[in-house]
Amino acid sequence: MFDIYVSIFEYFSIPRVFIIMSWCVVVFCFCAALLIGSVLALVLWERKLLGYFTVRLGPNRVGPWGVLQTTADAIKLLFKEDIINSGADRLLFSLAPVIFFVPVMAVYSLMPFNQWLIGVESSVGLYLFFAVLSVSVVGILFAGWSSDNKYSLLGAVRAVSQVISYEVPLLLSVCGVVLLCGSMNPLVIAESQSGGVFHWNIIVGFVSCLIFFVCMLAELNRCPFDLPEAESELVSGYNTEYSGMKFALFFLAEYSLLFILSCLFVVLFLGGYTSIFGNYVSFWVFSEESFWGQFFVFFEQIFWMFAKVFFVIFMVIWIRATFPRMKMNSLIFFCWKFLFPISVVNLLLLALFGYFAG
Amino acid sequence: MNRDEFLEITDNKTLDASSGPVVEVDKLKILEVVSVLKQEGYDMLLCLSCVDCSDCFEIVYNFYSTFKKKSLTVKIKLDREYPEVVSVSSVYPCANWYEREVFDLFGVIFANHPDLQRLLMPEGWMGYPLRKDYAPKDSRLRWNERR
Amino acid sequence: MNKTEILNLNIGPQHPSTHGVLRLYVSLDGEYIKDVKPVIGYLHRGMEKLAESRTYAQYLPMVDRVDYLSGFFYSALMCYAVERAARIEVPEYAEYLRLITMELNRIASHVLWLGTFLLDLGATSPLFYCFREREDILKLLENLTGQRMMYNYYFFGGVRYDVPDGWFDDVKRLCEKLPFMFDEYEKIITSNPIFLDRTKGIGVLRKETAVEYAISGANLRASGVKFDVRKDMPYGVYDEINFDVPSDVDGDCYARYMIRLKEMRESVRIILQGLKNIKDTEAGKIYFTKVNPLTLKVPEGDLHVCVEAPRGAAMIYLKSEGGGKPTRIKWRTPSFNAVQVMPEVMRGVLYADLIAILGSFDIVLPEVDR
Repeated sequence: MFDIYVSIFEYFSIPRVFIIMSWCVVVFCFCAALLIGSVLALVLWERKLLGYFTVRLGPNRVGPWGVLQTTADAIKLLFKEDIINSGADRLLFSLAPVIFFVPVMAVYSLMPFNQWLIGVESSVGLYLFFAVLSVSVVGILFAGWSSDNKYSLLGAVRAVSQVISYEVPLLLSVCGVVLLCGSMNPLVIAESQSGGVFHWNIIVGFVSCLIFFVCMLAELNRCPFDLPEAESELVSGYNTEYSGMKFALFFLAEYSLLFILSCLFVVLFLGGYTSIFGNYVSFWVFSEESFWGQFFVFFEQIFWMFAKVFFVIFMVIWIRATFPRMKMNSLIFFCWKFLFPISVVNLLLLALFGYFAG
Repeated sequence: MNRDEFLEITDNKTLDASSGPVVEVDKLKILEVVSVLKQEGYDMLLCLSCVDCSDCFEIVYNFYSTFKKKSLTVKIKLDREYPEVVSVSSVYPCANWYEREVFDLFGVIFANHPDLQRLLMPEGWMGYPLRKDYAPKDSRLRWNERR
Repeated sequence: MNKTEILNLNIGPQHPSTHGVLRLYVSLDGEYIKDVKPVIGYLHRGMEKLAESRTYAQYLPMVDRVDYLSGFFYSALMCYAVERAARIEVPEYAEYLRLITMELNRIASHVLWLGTFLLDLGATSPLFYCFREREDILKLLENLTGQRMMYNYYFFGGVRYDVPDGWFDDVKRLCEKLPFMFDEYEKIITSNPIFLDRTKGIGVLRKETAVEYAISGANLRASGVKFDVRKDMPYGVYDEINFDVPSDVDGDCYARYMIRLKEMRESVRIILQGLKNIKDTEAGKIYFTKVNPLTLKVPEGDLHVCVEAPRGAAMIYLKSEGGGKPTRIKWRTPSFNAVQVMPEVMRGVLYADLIAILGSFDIVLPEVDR
């Protein structure tokens, strides 16, 4: 998309600096819009699904089918008083949600939703993705420390240890996919899985897929790994002392992280925006080179992407509704004594497979 | 009362499936009696209650044997002015909280109790609520709660 | 030289989870619990003092509230005590009605315990399935007594009302459905590795400790002692019913969970047998003579009655001096002992297991404080 954009502006002989700056603004607006839209849908989707799993209806009062529920929640949070503890470190306290949120929004620009819709296409896209995302962990630590509350600190420390422990098997499983596809560019990875279900990486890299899914749940602090956030019987999490818009920012960041990690899962293992069938439906109707074919495939790829993403999110929510919580020490043992060796062995096996299968 | 007389009474036919025979014991011998009971297999102290008779306090111990499936009730009478008795929590640990509750609500002092404090009433409460002559003169209470 | 500091932590009295107003003062040494001091009394309502200024019939409706989750059992205690003392006979039809309602109440209480225990462990869905079961039972009891929780149904000499039409068939239908529901819970929970990790070997209550602290009910049976008041000191018509008393030897949270599941199935068996036997009794005879609540006098004396409540052996000690008002009523409630044994079980345990252990003992605070 960037090339088309640049070519339009160069037609009007605008200096490259302004083109790039305006592109940044466009990407920012696109990411913001997608983020807010996805979180709105996601929060409602989760509450409705959890309701249906537990013999209830979920939100159904605000708007038809409860559609306006998240907007109502956001407006409510806006009106709440912004309280900061007297003993809290004011700068860090206010900075923590921002540090947690900004990397999550930034990585929206690295994700291909479409053959053309990618904010920043780079040959080390995957590497950049994880590098930027790791910064958000610091936000949790700042939140726990600056809250001047020993329970928040305990919760933050546990959350941080969980997140950084589970990043290791996560990255090792992603390495497996990179070996299979030969590139770190998410567009290339998605394109290499085109041609239907049997070309998807989930077939060959099944173990990688499972490891990635489990580590994704741990990164998101979601059930069954939600001890830091739902341990409200004993210790309240790192975001106890936050109210109003700062809390809304944490909340927003958590759900948008869920969305973007699911998008990554889809791109890596489920074929990204490519269709389930061998070829796109639009290309059955219109031919590949015609304008209408390209026009409809634009929307069809977005459809396939979001369909798969919502399927993955359905699985995540289903797991939340089913399982109890794991204990902290079991969690860490599981990561280091089980997932880590398996992911290393898996990487080796994939490397051998890649070498012998050509 | 010596051990054989005591055993003769307890092995009698029970009056009631729940209560079993009722034995009155002198308050000074209660610790001895309780140790004997523990050896004889009455391993559970089901309940320890106190009654405020107008002229004395009566403490009722309820024992049960899980082996013999028999119950036994032991009663002792205490002086109303200075109600004091030895604690049996060294023999039956569950008496700990029961005795604390009796102390809290009736004011009976249990000697050798590990931790004799109020259990149910708030700390710093004056008076012993379950006594028959408990009339709260506490100024913290509203007018219609005082009598 | 390392110097470790003891951290004192206060849990409660307000909890986001469902344990009622219990305060636990925990001393932590790193992640291990050095000591737990339970502080109770936040829900003390003076139930025993209230009895002394009311007649028996005036006090009876208040008795359901000693433990609102098992109201029938405490009503039964009071009724059996007064009936035995004043020599009032109860017809068999009424006794079978009491049996059926008590066992339904036991299932409702255990099912609620299951939902809240799993909620404490982090699984949010089973709570709603358990409440769905409880709704069915509560609807039945509402049809019978007019109330969902504080039933006020038993009266001295029998029960207050006869059953509405078709009630026995409704109960039978529910009892036939319930074992399938219990199978569902077992499938989703019992073999779940996360659940096993959090409950197996956790919170072991040794047999000697349990007997020393007079623990009863499912907590004791899970530690290896087969003590059930329904079998050992039978009351009502329990001696005419065949049922098993499940027991286990481990004494950990998982054993207590399995015992309560098995007890629920036994209760269903008891209800079905009760429904069969009640057809042989004289239908509609809910009391022999209607006891006049204004002139009921209990002769002088005292007695104890024991009943198997869902949480253990509940007991009443009734002392009367011949008048219309009791001189002293003492409630011996099983949760009181369960809270007392907490420090013994929790010493040396990881902090993260505290909530699992607390939940597995099935403590209800109104019982503890009265």
